[in-house]
Amino acid sequence: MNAFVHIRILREIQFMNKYQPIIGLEIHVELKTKSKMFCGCPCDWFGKPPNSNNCPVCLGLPGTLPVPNKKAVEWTIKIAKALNCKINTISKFDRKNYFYPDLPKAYQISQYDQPIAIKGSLKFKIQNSEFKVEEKEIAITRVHLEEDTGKLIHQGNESLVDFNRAGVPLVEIVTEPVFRISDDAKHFLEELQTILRYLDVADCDMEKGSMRVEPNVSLMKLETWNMKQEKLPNYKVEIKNINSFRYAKYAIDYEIKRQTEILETGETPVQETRGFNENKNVTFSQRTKEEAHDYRYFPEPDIPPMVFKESFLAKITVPELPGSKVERYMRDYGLKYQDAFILTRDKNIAEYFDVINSKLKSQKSKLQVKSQNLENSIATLIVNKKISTDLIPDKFIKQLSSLLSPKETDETQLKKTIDIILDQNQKAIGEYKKGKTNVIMFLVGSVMRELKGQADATVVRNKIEKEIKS
Amino acid sequence: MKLLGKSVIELKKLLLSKQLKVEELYDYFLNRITKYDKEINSYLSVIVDSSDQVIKNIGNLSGIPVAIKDNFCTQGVRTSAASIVLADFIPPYDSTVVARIKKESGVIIGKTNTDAWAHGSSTETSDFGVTKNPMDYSRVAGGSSGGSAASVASYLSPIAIGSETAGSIRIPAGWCGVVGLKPTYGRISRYGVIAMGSSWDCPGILALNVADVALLLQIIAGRDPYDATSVETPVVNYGNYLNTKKTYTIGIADEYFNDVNEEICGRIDQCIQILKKSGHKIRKVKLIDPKYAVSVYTILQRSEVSSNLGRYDGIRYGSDRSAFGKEAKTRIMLGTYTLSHGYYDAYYKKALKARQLIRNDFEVAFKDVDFIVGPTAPCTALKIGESEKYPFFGEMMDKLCEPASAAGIPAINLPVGLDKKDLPIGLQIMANHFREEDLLNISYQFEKETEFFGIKNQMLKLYPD
Amino acid sequence: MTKTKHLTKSDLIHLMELSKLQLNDSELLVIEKQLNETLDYFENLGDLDTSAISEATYTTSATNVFRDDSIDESRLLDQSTVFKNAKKKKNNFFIVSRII
Repeated sequence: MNAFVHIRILREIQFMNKYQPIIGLEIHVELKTKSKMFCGCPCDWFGKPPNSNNCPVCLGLPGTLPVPNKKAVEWTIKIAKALNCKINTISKFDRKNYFYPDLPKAYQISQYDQPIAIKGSLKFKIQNSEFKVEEKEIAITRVHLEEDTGKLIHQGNESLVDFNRAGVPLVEIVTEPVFRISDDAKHFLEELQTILRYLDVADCDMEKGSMRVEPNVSLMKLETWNMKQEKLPNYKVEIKNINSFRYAKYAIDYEIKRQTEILETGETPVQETRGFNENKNVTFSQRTKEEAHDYRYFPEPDIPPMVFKESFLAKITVPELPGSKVERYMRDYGLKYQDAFILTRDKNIAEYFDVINSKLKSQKSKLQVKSQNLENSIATLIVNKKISTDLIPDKFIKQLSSLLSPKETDETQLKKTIDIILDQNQKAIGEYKKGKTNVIMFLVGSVMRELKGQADATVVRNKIEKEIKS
Repeated sequence: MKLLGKSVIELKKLLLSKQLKVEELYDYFLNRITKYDKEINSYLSVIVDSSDQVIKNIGNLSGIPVAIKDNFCTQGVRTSAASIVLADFIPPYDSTVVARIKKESGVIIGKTNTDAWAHGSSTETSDFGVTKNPMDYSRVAGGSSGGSAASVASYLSPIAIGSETAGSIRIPAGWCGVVGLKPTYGRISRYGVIAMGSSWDCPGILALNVADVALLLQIIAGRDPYDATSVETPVVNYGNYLNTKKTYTIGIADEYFNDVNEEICGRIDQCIQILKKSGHKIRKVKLIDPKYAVSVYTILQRSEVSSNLGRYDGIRYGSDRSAFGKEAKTRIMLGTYTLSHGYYDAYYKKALKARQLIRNDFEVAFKDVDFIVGPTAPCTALKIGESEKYPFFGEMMDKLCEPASAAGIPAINLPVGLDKKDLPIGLQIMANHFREEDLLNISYQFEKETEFFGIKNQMLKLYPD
Repeated sequence: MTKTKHLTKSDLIHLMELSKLQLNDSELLVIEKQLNETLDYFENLGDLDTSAISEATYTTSATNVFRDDSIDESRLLDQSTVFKNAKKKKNNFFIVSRII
């Protein structure tokens, strides 16, 4: 732990008073491959009639066998690379055995001790609650690939089972329990979602469940907080069924409050899985009954191991990610963090911005723009939606030039307008003459407005100054 | 026309020359099944009306009827694995083996009895009754592919598909007096075979002669995109390969004669002398005692069973878990234990390491010899109910078969005549990975030389047309 | 291998729950005897020195066996086929007793 982190923790300790929240995230993301993880059924299960998206394999019929989808493996590696993970040279699938009606084979093909990737970290900048930009670094424990389950609908005294989703490739991303406040968790999730969309491997739609978040929360008593002996609490509460990042934050905050109250009474919160009620913003116990949990993992005998060669891994590349783009825009273009952040939230907009800039670079001589910081101006125009990014780049540039270029000035019209404006603003002229030279901008603005922008502001300014002084 | 005992190749010739109609041949076997199978109980389902199937004298099987063990999925035909859990399960798809047979115009005549879920060496755990030994109805046919073995031995089908996890083809082939090939693991697709021990399961063939085995192997062997463990290794022309007489070095391991009935040992020795006489070199080899393979097999197979049988929850098909028989329940319980937290290393992991030892052991041996020859089973067919007396229920019967399964190497049972009780004796030949063609070559030589001690005629005289 | 342990009735009840089976007392008694005999037999693995041996996790030497990401129409099942073997169904859903 470096000194910086020490100071932060100490500060947060003061803030939290007696308990230190320890928060980790487990994120499941459905890949948007064409076909499922282990069979050739379509992945776009959403909205289809129940049990109409299955074959013998994903229905778990006797005798069926899984054959892994290569693209899903490559995309998992892509995600792992984006999260700066170490890719395991040898990886394998394992069976996780448990009974649940939505799990057709009574085991989920997952990964246990040799996941595709481990030990990563994600760095990104955020604006904190005091509007300061700070950098976060979140340690990633592992990234692995598995298959999704079917879906259950509970109705009366029955549960209805739909296997359309069963077998869709699912990537699990696990962070270290490094979050101390819910805001950081929310920022991380947003950044992760943006990255996954940049990679073009997942829709990450929380409402459709194609991205699912399970925070685990526990509180560490400060008395036991010893810098040299880091000891995590002896319990952990997992929260399921959260369908937005905002709710993830609320759920974490609620848990911190709930667990604090329990700890205050001298009790230890129960290790359990809790659900989140989004109407009441509270978590509730989901499994009261003590259930036997022993997944009896063992290597999936139906799938030979994966051995990743350097040459194979080298072909899986990661595009420039939002974090790097923010850095580059700030560094190279001098953009404000806020603009760079907004521009990069949507990959298409960021790419559009990059296209405009590169086009302008190649035709800068032709374009007589009048702007001290062209990129900054473009950014502002995009962020403030002054020019639509739906335009083809050439049209965008045309509009841009008309907004920023020196204007062809109708000299007679200009002279007439300046006369009128000066005539109407004798008071301002007086102030200017007294030395309040700033007033000139007001006059320039008035003229420009009158001319509907069809004049060059510098020319206007020079002419007004000349006029006043004469 | 007298068809009794004709080989697949002979029947094929008759069909191709139009001396015999496919329907006639089919009816011939249906009639024999009606006549004899009430007693033997080798079939669980017989496809009486074959009109659903395209029966044509084209393709490599030209309309030959094939019996299929009931743990292979057959589209539209009940597939129960001899368990009441699946008593009314009609698969919507064909296993790859069945699909390939149909593609070559093989006709599925019926589904053969097995131990329930293929758990056993006797078919006594079948929920639909034991398959009796065609040589002695008071005895078992062996298992788990007992129905396939008995149907071939009594000529209720000219050829049959079986499956092995460790011994389930060789044991019943041995006890019923037929040829039984368990190929290399991965040589034949497992797609559509109801899984028992996934890292062991291996489809195979039971027939009256070696050439027929080669013919069917040609059709069902080879990589299947639906089975990731089926291998790319090219399939050679097995039939052609039989025609050249090859000379081999044959290994004999004393460890495979421990606890084996004296009469069997004597017959195996006699066979070794025959092989020697025909020009093959005989050499002693040392192998790990098969008793360790029993532990390796039992731990790993039970572990896999406990997972593979999880899907039978009665939601999508079949009955719920209360319908499992005693043997399945016992196996699931043990496998659940050997995989459970805290015991995984002591059992599962240790067994995987021992399995590697066995594999290495064969690898070393096969540097010096082409084959290892020994008995298939320590005794001939047991009396019905007799195996209950043995502490390890059947597992010891498979002992000599288990090392080859552990290593995933091919092995074959050849019938080598009857013992004093008129029960068939089996000779086992094991070969290195993907050496099926050599295994068939030496078996074919042996068959030519011995005619399997005339066992076919001795058996079939009990089952006249 | 160090002698592991003998399974007791309570161990068996736990295993029974894990494997979702129902066994009555007399069945458990038979299984207890049989399983413990089997576990005793496993002790023979202790004779083998496996300290320098890797685990034979897979039976073939194949690696990286994948399928391409394409739809396999040939295996898709229509709803009526999906439910053909189901004991309970309702509006094209499979039905179980409510679990939450």
